[in-house]
Amino acid sequence: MSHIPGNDESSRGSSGESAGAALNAIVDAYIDGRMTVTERAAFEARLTREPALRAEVDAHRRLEAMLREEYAERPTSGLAGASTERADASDTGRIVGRPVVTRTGRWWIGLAAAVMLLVAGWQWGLPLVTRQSGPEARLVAEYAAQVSAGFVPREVCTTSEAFVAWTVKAYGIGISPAALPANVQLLGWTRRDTLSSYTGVLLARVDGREVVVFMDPSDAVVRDGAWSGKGLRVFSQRVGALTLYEVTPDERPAVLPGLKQVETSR
Amino acid sequence: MSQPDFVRVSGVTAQREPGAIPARSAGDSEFWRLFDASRPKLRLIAAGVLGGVTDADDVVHEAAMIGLAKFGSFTPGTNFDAWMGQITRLTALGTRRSRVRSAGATGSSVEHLARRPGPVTSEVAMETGRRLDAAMAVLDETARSCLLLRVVGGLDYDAISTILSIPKGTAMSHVSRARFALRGELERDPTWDARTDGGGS
Repeated sequence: MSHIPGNDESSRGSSGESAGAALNAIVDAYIDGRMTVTERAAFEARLTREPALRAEVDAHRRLEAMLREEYAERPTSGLAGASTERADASDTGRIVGRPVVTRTGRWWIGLAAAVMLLVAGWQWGLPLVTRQSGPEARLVAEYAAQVSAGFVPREVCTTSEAFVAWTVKAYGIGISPAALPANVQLLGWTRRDTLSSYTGVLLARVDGREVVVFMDPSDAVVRDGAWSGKGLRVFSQRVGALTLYEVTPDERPAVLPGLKQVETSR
Repeated sequence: MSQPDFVRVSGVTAQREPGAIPARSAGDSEFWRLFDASRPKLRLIAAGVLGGVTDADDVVHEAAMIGLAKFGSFTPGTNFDAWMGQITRLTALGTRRSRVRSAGATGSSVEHLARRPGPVTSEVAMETGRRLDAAMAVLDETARSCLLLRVVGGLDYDAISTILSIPKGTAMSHVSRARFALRGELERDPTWDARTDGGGS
């Protein structure tokens, strides 16, 4: 009846490596979804009678679930390290989604991140996180996440040469910080999925205050209204094929005016 | 301050510098259209070669830039997944080699797979991830890629065969062997089951 070796009770009588291999083959075929309907029914009947076999299958299923948790891509969101589904947050001015399964699979991590973001947003005087759910909200959320994480770049980059090399490598466009004023201190880069899968996050300090510049090749649509009051402001500028955004606590952008496209040999 | 070539976010942002390169040519748009569809698979290939998700996004990003620069050599009608899969694999191999060099003689590739820090991180999840990455390290890169594309990506074996440029039967046997090898490696740690969601089996 079965095309799968070992998928019948008679095979239990065999012993040694061949029996073990046959058992592995049938478990593999079952887990992998390669059984016919008939084979599957027969195997599942066996599972009800053989707890050890059931345990074997469960162990593989659990392992596969862990692989998916660990390696599956997280949905794009402004939250670092956790994701939250939003259902038209702009209508309510609140995060209304539920935490979704992330690589950690722990719902409370998503919840903790959301609470953290709420607190951070409150501290900076933001209107309950995301009255606006467009790019500005994501940028500001990422700013908050970077500050909360200690404002440490993944790749330290403090010289003009390294800066240009990074932008060439990342985007194929040379962008130089040579015109930056002296009160701007570059720290380095991190890559995030803030606006797209290719968002570069430049961490800098301006007169000691944290400023984040985002580079993204997508034509992200921005919405009217900068963040104001004692909160953050978002500025943007096109450089070549990229859109650059500066999120700053200051009244004016300090980094964007000093970033210029330069000729490079690709 | 001189007249800024920036604007506050107010709906008018597409301000270009004189002489700036075009945003995206028609060819670029076609590349990105194809690439966006392939990206989840390419990310798994990168993770397979690297032995973990750390740096996989960076590798895919870098591979995208290489692919974009070479897009003129891509033959329309042929398989973009396979074409970009090869670029991604080679890019990931380069990254892995430079990791090994930077890790030095004492650092194993697994130890070098430091998790990307985030503002909210679970120690338990990090430990689980480290153990899983360590167990994955016993597999070869092709087996890892096959397993990830099958289990995480949900690809059928024809698609895995195409994107990795290997025979379908080879892909199947890689996945099968990888499953059991991975489980065996994890079970060498007697506390492993206790760490899983479901407890002991």
